[in-house]
Amino acid sequence: MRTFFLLFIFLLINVVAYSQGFTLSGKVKNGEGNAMPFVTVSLKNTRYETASEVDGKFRLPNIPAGDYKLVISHVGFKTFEKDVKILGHVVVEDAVLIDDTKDLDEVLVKTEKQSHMQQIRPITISSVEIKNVVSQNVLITDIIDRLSGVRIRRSSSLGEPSDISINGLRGNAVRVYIDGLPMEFIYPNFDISTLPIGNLKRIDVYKGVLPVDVGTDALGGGINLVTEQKSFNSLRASYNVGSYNTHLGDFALGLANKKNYFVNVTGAVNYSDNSYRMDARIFENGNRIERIKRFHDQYKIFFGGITVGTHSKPWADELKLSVNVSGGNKELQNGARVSGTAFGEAKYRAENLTAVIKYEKAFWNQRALFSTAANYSSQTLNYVDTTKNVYSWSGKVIGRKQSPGEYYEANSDTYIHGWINRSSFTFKINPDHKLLFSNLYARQKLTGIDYLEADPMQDYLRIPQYLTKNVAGAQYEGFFLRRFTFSAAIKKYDYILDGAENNTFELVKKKDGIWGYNTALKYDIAEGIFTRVSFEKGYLVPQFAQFVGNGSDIVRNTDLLPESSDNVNMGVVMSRPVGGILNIATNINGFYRSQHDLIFIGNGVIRRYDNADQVRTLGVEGDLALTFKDAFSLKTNLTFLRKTFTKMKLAESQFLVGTDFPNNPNFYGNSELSWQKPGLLKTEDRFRAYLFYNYIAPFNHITVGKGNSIKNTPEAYVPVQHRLDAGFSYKFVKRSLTASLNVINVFNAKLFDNYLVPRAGTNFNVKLIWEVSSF
Amino acid sequence: MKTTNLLLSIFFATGLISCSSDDEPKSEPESLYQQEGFLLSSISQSTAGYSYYAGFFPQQPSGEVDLTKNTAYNTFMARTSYKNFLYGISLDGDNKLSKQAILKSSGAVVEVASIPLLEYLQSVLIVNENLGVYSTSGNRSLFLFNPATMENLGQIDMSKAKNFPENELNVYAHLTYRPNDHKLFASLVTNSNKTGQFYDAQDVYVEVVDLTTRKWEKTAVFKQATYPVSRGLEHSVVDEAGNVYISTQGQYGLDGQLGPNSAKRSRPQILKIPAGKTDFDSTYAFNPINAVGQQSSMFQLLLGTIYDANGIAYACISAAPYPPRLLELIGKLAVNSITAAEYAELSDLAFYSPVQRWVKLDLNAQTATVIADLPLTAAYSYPSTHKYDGEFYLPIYNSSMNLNGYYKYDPATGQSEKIVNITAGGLVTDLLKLTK
Repeated sequence: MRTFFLLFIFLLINVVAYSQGFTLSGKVKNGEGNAMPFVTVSLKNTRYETASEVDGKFRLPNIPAGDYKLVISHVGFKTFEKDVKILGHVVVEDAVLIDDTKDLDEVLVKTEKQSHMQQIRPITISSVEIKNVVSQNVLITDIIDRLSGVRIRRSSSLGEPSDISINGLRGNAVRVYIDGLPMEFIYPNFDISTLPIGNLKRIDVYKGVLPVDVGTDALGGGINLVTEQKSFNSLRASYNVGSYNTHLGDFALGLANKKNYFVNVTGAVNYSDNSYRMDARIFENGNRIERIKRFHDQYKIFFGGITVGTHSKPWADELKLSVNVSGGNKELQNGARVSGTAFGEAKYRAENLTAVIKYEKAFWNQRALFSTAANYSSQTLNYVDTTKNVYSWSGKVIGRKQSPGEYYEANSDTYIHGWINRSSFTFKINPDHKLLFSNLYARQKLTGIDYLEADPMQDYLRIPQYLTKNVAGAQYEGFFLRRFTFSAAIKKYDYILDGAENNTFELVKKKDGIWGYNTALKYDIAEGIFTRVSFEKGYLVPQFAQFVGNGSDIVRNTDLLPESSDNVNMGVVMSRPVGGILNIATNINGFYRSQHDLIFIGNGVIRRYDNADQVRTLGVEGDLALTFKDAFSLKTNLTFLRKTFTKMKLAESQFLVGTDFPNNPNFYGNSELSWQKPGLLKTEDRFRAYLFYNYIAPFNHITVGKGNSIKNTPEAYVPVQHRLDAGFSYKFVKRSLTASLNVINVFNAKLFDNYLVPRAGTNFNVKLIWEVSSF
Repeated sequence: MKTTNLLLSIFFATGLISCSSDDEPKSEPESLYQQEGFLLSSISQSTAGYSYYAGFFPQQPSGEVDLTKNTAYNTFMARTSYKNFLYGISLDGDNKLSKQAILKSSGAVVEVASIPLLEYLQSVLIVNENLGVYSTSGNRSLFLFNPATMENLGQIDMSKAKNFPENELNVYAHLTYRPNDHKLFASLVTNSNKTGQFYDAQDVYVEVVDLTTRKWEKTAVFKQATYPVSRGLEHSVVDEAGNVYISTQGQYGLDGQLGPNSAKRSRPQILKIPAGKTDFDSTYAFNPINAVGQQSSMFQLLLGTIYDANGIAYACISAAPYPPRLLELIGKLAVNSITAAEYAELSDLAFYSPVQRWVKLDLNAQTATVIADLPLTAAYSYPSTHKYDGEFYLPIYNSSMNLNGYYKYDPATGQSEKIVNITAGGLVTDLLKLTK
């Protein structure tokens, strides 16, 4: 670790000297001459992009000499475009945006959506630009976990699955999308936290209504990972080294020519021993609790991809083909909860091949836009858990069991093939009204080999099974009376299951279709202040394994009904400069979720997924951002929610009505104080230091009665958690290098996941990001 | 210097005070744990999994009880109790033999000591203050321990005991202690994952262990009986003379043997190892369900057997027609055409259908009499019975009658009375009495 720190310091000293490129700066005003903050400013088809400050000023540094097109865009204003020649420092004084009700043009003219634009839509979205947070975070889930209303349950082990909770909905109820395509069909056994962060442009977190061109059968929440394909020459590489022998490296090379053809090559490698320390019982020492190092939790994965394409052709705004390969191994150290003995041999291996083709074209004088994306993926998952050895948390083998398997006995290959197509058509009736149609077709084939079953005729996994989903949606968006934005959508969910019965192996078929809908309304109260409300009736079609079981301990239930949820969101957003030096941005959102026919797996004599209880969530979340003189920034968010049972299936469980649903934090918040200083060592450089604090109030990890509390039942609760992180980053603009040092859990506080699995103590990571473009 | 002198003064003063107290009578340090009282427990299942509740009551609990006002646990399943301590599965679900007590300060069940195990705890039997026996899910694993100190006293060598190596499970699910000759009778349960049955042998095997020499002695075999478990707390059923009674369950119809014409081994039977002997009495095979006139019953159960005195015992047996759907599903099972989902439905019906009744058994006369004032119950779930101060505490779960608690039966009067009903906390699992 010390070696890496010295290397880091060396790099800091070594890179300060370069200087090349020019600065483009200016000020954005509206027709009345007032400064316009948060306006997107970019150079077309380049990586140079920023947002105007509170006083309307913007600055794009380190631009190589050349000819560019300056694009300034903002919702409700005509897009400003101007050719600029960069031969030295350039100041643009005439950037005046003319008022227009052109919200809808933003989609049609294909300017890049920005996180700010997303956040002012009628539906509730939190959006994060990756470039703003990449130096501070290692995983995608680290970034999402810092948003209000969102909690990620993970152990501290890299490669472990994440349980995402958005405003109280969690598990499969929250879907993850990659550019609008459902991740469970692209990477069926991969977790969101394993995807490389480097290729992302933006993360949109939908906290309720999902627009028809993104959503599928999520219940009221979704995360869309927006990837970035460079249509200009660029090279980005990053390397992260951290505690527990953790190394993460990625690169993205983009090459483009003047005929608008481009090639992108990307790669990433992640490795970690995950050998963090935790308290555990040592079997051979009479179950005495000792501080141990995790010993069987190694994780490694690689991603590689190539994209070829073209843009701005008469016959296509964009056409691209991507092929990605990935594969990795993960050792297992424990199950969902930490028990008295460890896992020492269970492991799995996954390999994935994915191909995506995407086409977009606007026509009818930009009034219509058609886009389609098709994806094929093939994935193999090999799971091996056959040992009879029993491992102590010390790492020693302390005996042998009668029956093999540490988690569950298996030695199997599972093959999943997926086909997806999403096609969307947007039509602008007039500047204030548009229609959007989108259809998603997804089909998955599951087969495999159980190597423990000697007779292939008795091998359930060898029977091919299929799940087909089709989600069609139509959406209307309109702008009325210069203050109201209204949207309404209708969705049809169809699914067909061709499965096999566990005991008899008879083929079974299930087919059904359901209608869902959503609506949203936004009202602009004044400049920078608006309020919005939305409602969605969402459905969640059961997943493959929930319908057909897993061929071993979980049996099929084709009578399973889709889970449904009624979601209401209501909030107010305000963003205002105060006295020219202070900017206040705040967002308060209330939410209500009523979930029906919850899908759960029982622990009875027979294990199968079933529809059972009903759950209601009521909560409020809010965030506040204060920016002082562009130097100090304080961002705080708080979420308070109550997720309670409202109806129970079993007669003797009726007492749980009104009690807290377990494993669900109900009061939590983050606060980040940062200071940034341009020109600390060199004029163009940027230094940023931060303190990040995370608070999670105690919550129950098993079901508890109304009379229970952490005082009378401490064992049933995850205790209060306080976590403080600190770090700094330095951007050597002329060297195109950003270096950062992050210290996680500075005070070595005891942290847990939602099932009381301990998380890591104090740990470090150092990150270097090198990025050049337009070479 | 001053500080040093001051510390020395305090040291000596403390020493003097300590010495002077030696002459005074020592008072017994007050225990942290409850010495007497009752512990009522339950289990709750929901979308979010299982929770366990256990509430302490200084006096016998009565009336309607909300157990959620007490503590909730990840796991709570006592296998047995001795004085004011409980022995069973650990509160966090780990593989341990856990000794538990109830804290005076909060009424919460806490682990006092434990013996870590490689495998799941199967059954526990306390012989006396300093000797206990437990079995695990390991192959023929049988251990001795000291219940007072929780010291492991070693494993009994069962290598010569009956084993079915082709079956994944060979465990001792029921332990019986005969005080007359200090012998242990360990009933073997053997099971193959490849079949739908819970017992994969044609006969019953009971291992005889001499607890004086701590050595395996022999295997007692009874032909044409299967699955020697009674569910619930698996009490020893040994009469005053030393006759050992072993309850066997048959096959629940899972071997396709249903109705009055099914094989004898497929239906419940009580077997007997006579006093002073270590072999079965091959002429004794008592089916209490047939004894109450339910010979034609398609599906028979014998649950929660517990001994009283003078050859009298109590058990819960099939005593009412099963739901038609249950019989339909058993029929499908019999011809091997049941689907996995239907199998799950069958299990639920077996678990929650109130079609059993508590009966009084005369083990000598081989007769059974229904205790008429006790309602029908779903005894397949948790038939945890107890005898306290000459009276029997019998669980009743009948959702249609809103019954989910314990009744008390007085053998002297032959009368029963409802004592407690759980209104919140889930399905009743046990009622333990702590004694000094």
